[in-house]
Formats: sequence, structure tokens, C-alpha cells
Amino acid sequence: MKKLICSVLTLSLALFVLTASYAEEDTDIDILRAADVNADGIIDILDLVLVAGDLGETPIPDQPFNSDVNGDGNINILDLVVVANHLGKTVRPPVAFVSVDPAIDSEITVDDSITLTFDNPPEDVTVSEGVPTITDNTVSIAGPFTPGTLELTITWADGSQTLNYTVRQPAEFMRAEPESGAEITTNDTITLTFDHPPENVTVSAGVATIDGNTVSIAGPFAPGTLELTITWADGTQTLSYTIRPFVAFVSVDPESETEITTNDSITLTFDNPPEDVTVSEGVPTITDNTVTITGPFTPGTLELTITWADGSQTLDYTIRQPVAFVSIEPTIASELTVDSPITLTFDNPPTDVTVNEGDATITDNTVTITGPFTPGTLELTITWVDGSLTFTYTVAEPDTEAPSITSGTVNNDDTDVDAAEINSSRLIEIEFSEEVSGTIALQTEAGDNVGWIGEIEGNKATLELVKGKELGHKTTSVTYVIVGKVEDAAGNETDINITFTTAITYDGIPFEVTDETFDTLVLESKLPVVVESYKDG
Amino acid sequence: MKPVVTAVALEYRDTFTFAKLDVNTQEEKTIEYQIRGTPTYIVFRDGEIVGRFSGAMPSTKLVQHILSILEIEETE
Repeated sequence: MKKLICSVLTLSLALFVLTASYAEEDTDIDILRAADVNADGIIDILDLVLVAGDLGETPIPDQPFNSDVNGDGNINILDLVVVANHLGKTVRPPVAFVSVDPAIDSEITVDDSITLTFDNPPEDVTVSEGVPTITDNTVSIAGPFTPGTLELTITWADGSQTLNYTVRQPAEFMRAEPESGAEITTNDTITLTFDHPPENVTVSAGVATIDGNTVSIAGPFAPGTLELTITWADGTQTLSYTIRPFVAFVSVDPESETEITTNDSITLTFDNPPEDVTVSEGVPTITDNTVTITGPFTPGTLELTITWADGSQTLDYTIRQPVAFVSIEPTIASELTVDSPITLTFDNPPTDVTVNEGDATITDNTVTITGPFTPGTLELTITWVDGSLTFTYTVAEPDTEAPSITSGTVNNDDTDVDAAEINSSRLIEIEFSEEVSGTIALQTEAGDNVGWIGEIEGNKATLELVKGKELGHKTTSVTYVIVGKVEDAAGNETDINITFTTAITYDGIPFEVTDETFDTLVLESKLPVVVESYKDG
Repeated sequence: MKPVVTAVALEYRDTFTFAKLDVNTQEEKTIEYQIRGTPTYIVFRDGEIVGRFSGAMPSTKLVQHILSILEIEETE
């Protein structure tokens, strides 16, 4: 055997000498790789030894070393010749595809690069789309690729590989609304616009909703500074905002759809201090969480719109003129009786009137308050739709005492009354203990009206003589009765019944009689009377 | 005539009184008592006419008429 090997080696060396001038580059790489039986990258004596050792054998598939170099199914001298022909040549190992990034079947953008990694630097690389760049063991294939389905075939000296991708347009951030740096509320929404629909969107705060080329990021956001990072398949964008609390309308006083006056104020309450407040009518004043809108408002229907940074609110009111107090009767601080009415006058008819004492009756612009009031100090408070006032009075104890006669020209049961003097003064007076009203008359004892004129004013009653109705006294004493009835302000009544009798004052001097006095002076005389007729002039 | 009546009235003031009625102004009583001339004297007692006479006359005659009607005797 040794002899055989030596012979083969000798033959091979001879063949090597004969074929040493062959260049690798001129030889098919597949032949060289077959000749490099032990696949150590160089064709040398060891490859010859392996083939020589198998001479005459039938090649067995899947052996580590294949001595059937020419692949004719026999291991013979021809295989030795092939090896011998290439002794000393180096053999480049086959280049195999190892991996690709991005992974096969993934989604890439038109501008993405696809990087293939081989176990050795590939040669003769061509691609079905894109531009390949070979660096050592890697091949980067740059786009742009056509959007849609990409079936990319890479071919290199030792093989080819087909890669499938979905190619899409990359989404580029265009703008944000509100812009970065702006102040927004906790409830605001930030809208980002891209040049193409973004994918795989994530946000550092809020909830993102994608609709076409826009991404809406809704809060609520935490008050303070917001660094909002939006990440999508093709990039990242960070936006800064100042977050302030969202200001919501809470309530209004007076309530909408009520009636107010031209001078009333309307106060709105918010859950946070509102900003940029404007109103359609009136003047707003902002204090913390409230906005007070003062008039004067125009009478009629008011549709008041309040607009602030985060919203607007429309309120409806009916505007009326306010009702103002004008006067009161009796005068404030004066003395009243328990039943004295108190009358207040307003410039317009008041409504919703209440009083703390007595009963109120409204008639047009006046309010009449009737008692009975409690004797003592009366603090009367009247409240109406637009205000309230308190008045102080002194309420006197009830007057239950009837007026009395304090003095008079004549007194009851007077006799020997000097009728001449009364006739001369033409007046009978009676004074009362207080102011009274009523009637008074002078009657005969029989109840006939003598005809004097009776009047009552203040605390005095008067009976005035009518000519020809003089009191009788010449020839006889005459009894008269002053009758009447008076009452004071409290309604206490007193009957007047003063009976008096005149004194006879006949002095022997003939006296005149008239048609009116004839009966009294002549017919009723206690002495006989001689009537002398005469004709004056 | 006035002084005559005045003197009689004064002298007999405790017996009777003298009243004067102007017929020009007091028509009612003038007609009621049918006074047709002046002086006419009508004597009343207790509301009733007890006598009447007329014409001017001296005081003594006047007194006599009155006392006669009144049925009073003259004291002097």
C-alpha cells in the first residue's frame, strides 16, 4: 500500500509539475472546491493522499471527504489528476446567507435599508431592487423601494436569497396643534399631523387616536409641565406643554331664566379661576373662581353669553326696572295707634312684599300695612323683591277712653243762663278732652232744632247763632238742649246732651219780636204780653 | 207814642211786658193776628189772646185798657 501511495504521490508531483502554471482565477470554483477534498482552503498533498487512499472505491454519499473529485461516480486516477492539477491553489470557501435585518416578512419604509449578513464576504452581489453596498460580510440594500409588496432577490456568487417585505411610506411629523410650548388645559386634545399615516404610535401621556394622517392625544393631563413624547414607527417627537386645570362652569346666581333688575349683578362660579373672560353685556369682575357681571342691563329679555378660555355659557334673564322706596306715611319715628295704617310708596309696583308685623296690602305703587300693632316700639321691616327697609315707630296703648267735655259756654243743668250775652257773642262753644269729629245741634226742650249752625273742629264744637234764632229770655226762662255725638280717632264715642235754661232778663223796656221769636217771647211768656204793632219809618 | 209805651212798660214791668212787632218786616205774625193798622195792641196771657184794641191814646187810657183786659184792678 505504501508503495502505491508513494507511486501516486510521485505521479501527482509529476502532474503538479506539469500543471503548476494553472491559475485559480482561471478555474471553475466548483472544481477547485472539489479538489480541496479536506476543505481546508488549500489544494495540497493532503488532498492527494485522501483521494489516493480511496482509489478504486465507490464514493459513499454524505462522507466528510468526497474523493470523487470529478463527480463521475468512481474514485480513480482521474480524480488524482484533478487534484494534482490544482496543487498549491487556495480555494475560497462558499459564502452562505446568515441573517437579514429587518426580518423577512416585516414592514419597512420606502427609504429603509435592508442589511444581509453572510458568513463570509459575498461576491458578485446583485439585487432585484435597491442599491447594494458590500462591507465585509454584510450587504446593505438601500431604497427607495416601491410601496407595496416587495419581493427582493439577492444573488451572490454562491447563491441567492429572496426576501419578502411590505414597503410603506414613512410617516413624518408635520405639526402639532396646539403648538409645543403652548398652555393647554387638562381636558384639551393635542392633534399631531403627519405627512403619511403613522403606525405603531405610542404616547407618554394621554390616549392616542389615529385617524389618517392625524393622531389625536386626549387627556386628562396632569396640571403642570407636560413633556409629551410621541413615538411612531418612523420616529419620535417630544412636545412640551404647560397644563393648567380645565375651567368648567359650575353655577350661576341668580339662576338662568329668572327675573332680575337692571342694577342686579350676576355671579357665575367655576371650578377653577377662569381666564380670558368676555361677556355680551355688562362688566365682568373676576375674583378667584367667580365672575361677577354687573349692569346696568337693558330692560327686556337678556341673552347673556359669557365666554372664557375653556368654553362659553349663555344665560337668559328677564330684566325689569328695580322697585325703589319713595316715601312712607306716617312720618318715621312718629307715634301710632295700634290700628293706624302705615302706607309706603314706591316708584314702581313692588312684588314679593313681606312685613314682620301687620298685614300688607299692595295697590299699584303703594303698600298699606295694617295692624293691630303691639304697643311699644315698633321696628317694622318691609321686604320687597328689590330691597328691605326698617322703620321705627312708637305704638301707643290703645285709646279706649271716650272724649269728654272739658268746658263750655254752658254746662249741663245750668240755669239762669245769660242768654243775652250768648246772643250777643252769637256763639256757644264746647271743648273736648281730645280731637273729635261728629255732629252737634241746639234743640228746644221738645226736641225741635233751634236752627243754630253746629260745627266740630279739632277739640272744639261750636253752635253759631242764626239771626232771628236768638235764645229766648225776655219774658220767660227757656230750656235748651245741646245734642250731638262725637268720636275720637280711635272711634270712642261720646253723646252730647247739655241741658240749660235761660234766665228771664226782662227789664221793663219794650222788646222787639219777630215771626221767629214770637212764639217763644209772647206765647210762652210767664207774664202777660202786650204786643204793639207799629210801622217802622 | 213810644215814650208813652215805654213809661207804661216800665211802670207795669212786674204785671205785664210790652213787645213790639214791626208790621213791615214781620208779615207772618201780622197776617196771622190780622193786624190791619198801627198801633194795634194785642194782649196775650198764657199763650192766648185775651184782648185787643187799637189806636193811639194817652198812657192812662192805655193802662186802663190793658188792666181791664187782664182783669186787674188799678191800684192807684
